[in-house]
Amino acid sequence: MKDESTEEDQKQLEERAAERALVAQVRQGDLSAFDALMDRYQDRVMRVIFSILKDPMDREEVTQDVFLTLFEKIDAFRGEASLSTWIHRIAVNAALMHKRRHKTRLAVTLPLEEVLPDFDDRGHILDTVQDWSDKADDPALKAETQAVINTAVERLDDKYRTVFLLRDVQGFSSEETAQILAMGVPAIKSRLHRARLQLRRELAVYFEKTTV
Amino acid sequence: MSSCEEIIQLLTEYIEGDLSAVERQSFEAHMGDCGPCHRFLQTYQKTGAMAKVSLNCVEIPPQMQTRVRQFLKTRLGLDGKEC
Repeated sequence: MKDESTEEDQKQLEERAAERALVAQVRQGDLSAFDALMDRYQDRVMRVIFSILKDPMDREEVTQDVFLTLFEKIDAFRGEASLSTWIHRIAVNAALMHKRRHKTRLAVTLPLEEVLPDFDDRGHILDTVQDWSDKADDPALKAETQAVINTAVERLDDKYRTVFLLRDVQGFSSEETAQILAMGVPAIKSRLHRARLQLRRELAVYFEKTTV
Repeated sequence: MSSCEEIIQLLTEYIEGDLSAVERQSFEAHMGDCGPCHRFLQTYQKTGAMAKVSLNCVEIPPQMQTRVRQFLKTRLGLDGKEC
């Protein structure tokens, strides 16, 4: 176990050193180094932008802006966070700002009592809680289920949605998500819980109405 | 930790592995005894898994990737440099 963690630490150190070298080259205006940086991050950054923005033109525009910003503002990278965190922070902020400027959807935050079951005076669940997780795997419902979940995610307020997209959809750890969004980890987990509760509720309503 | 209300508040901590060994044991014991909480946890976990699949189904069009690169190459003068 110790050997594995030392190997992992070593790998991280090497990764950070490679990043610093790449950033140094980009700072000197080395465009092939910037090309290499894009090779490394373009796909993941686009996935994050795609999860926040739906319109193809918006996605493309913001992606271009993000990488342009990266190049132009590379001197602002101080190395306190990892390069990945810094790049993803720029991407998330750019996508969210674009979304706010072109706001077409209305976010809905369901009240807490609606996303939680009813409890009695001793805190025990009063409701009948259905387990629809098997129904969710039904191929006959796949397209519809995807549409329901996509809509439910779109309906989340940005503050919950962004955390959920980074953590549960894109797979960043809570710590990475906290760094990207410049928030504390407890706040991330609180918002994540709230997002999951609301999405779970929306899916529960859908599946309770669906008979197969 | 004994009520369903307390358990539901700890779902994310449980999934994230933040509970102490004692808390985890108590949480899992409750799950073993409480059908509604167990079903709530199942569906809570399933929600994240479903969203991950559904939202990652989006393919990044290769043409868009190419256009982004070309835009940047032109703006930054990358197209003058051949590897």
